[in-house]
Amino acid sequence: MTEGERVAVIDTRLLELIACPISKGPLVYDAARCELVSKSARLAYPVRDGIPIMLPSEARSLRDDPPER
Amino acid sequence: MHGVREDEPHGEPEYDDAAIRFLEALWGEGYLSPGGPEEVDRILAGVSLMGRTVLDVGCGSGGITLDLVERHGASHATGFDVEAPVVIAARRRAWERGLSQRVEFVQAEPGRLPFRNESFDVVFSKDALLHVPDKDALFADLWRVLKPGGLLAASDWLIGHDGEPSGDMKAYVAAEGLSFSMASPARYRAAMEKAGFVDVYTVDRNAWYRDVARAELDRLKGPLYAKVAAAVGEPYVDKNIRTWEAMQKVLDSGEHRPTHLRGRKPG
Repeated sequence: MTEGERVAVIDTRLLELIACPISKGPLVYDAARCELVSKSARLAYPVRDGIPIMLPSEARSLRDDPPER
Repeated sequence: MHGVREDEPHGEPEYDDAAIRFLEALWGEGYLSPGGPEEVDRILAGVSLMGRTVLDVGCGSGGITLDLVERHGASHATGFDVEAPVVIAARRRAWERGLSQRVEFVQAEPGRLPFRNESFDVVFSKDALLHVPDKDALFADLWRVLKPGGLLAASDWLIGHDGEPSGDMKAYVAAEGLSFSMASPARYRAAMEKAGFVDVYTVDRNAWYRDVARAELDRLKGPLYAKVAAAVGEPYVDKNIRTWEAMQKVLDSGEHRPTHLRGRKPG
């Protein structure tokens, strides 16, 4: 895979299908960080080479970020 | 190393890069279960995927997921698996075949699928569900992600009964070294109906795979040996020849029952 391909584009169709395994809620794609953000679980799941890794153990905690209002 | 991330938190994957190389040498590029595209066609007999969305549960290295789009005309396919090496191989294959716009691969832990309710027209799975111990929870979750009117079309490796496995069966599962949780066709049908599936039926594939597996073993011992040994080393092939010999016993006795599964979510 080239570097260009690593800047993965997450299909909008996938965002309509995928859910946070913790909260069951929807996810928002942060293209700059290549993360799928679960606001309800306050976790950011990595997207590596275009593959969403929906593992809480691999997710970045957003605990320290200000809560969503 | 088998290409596993060093920070892999869940231990060594069961299907590592060596396992992928070995199984693909035997079963075809992107295929981690037997029968090739022809067996996929038989699982989908009478079902049109044209313009429909599909979830492939336990997609492995993705050959089938891509076939569901390329050969069966699905508008979009999502491959799901629980280990990193297989989804990485699958994703690479999608890029190589120019299908990355119509096929996505997702990795998550075993358990509830990371998908919203009523997301897919069709749920497909090939010889992967035997890794899931709780069949009731499994089929309830497959039902959950199906759209009303959606279809489940799958194949899996079942066992002929729900009693204590025979000595031969225990020896076979031990030889595989994989986390198999086999259950009977009756157990599967009950779990599917409990989940809400209608028009549930199963098709026994023991007689078919009994012969196919015998041919696989002959190829492994004969014309394929050198090629596969070059890919994974002789000890790995020799170990698998012993696994295939153990498998043949329980295929011949009828205790190992590859089976097709069908069910529909009312809608």
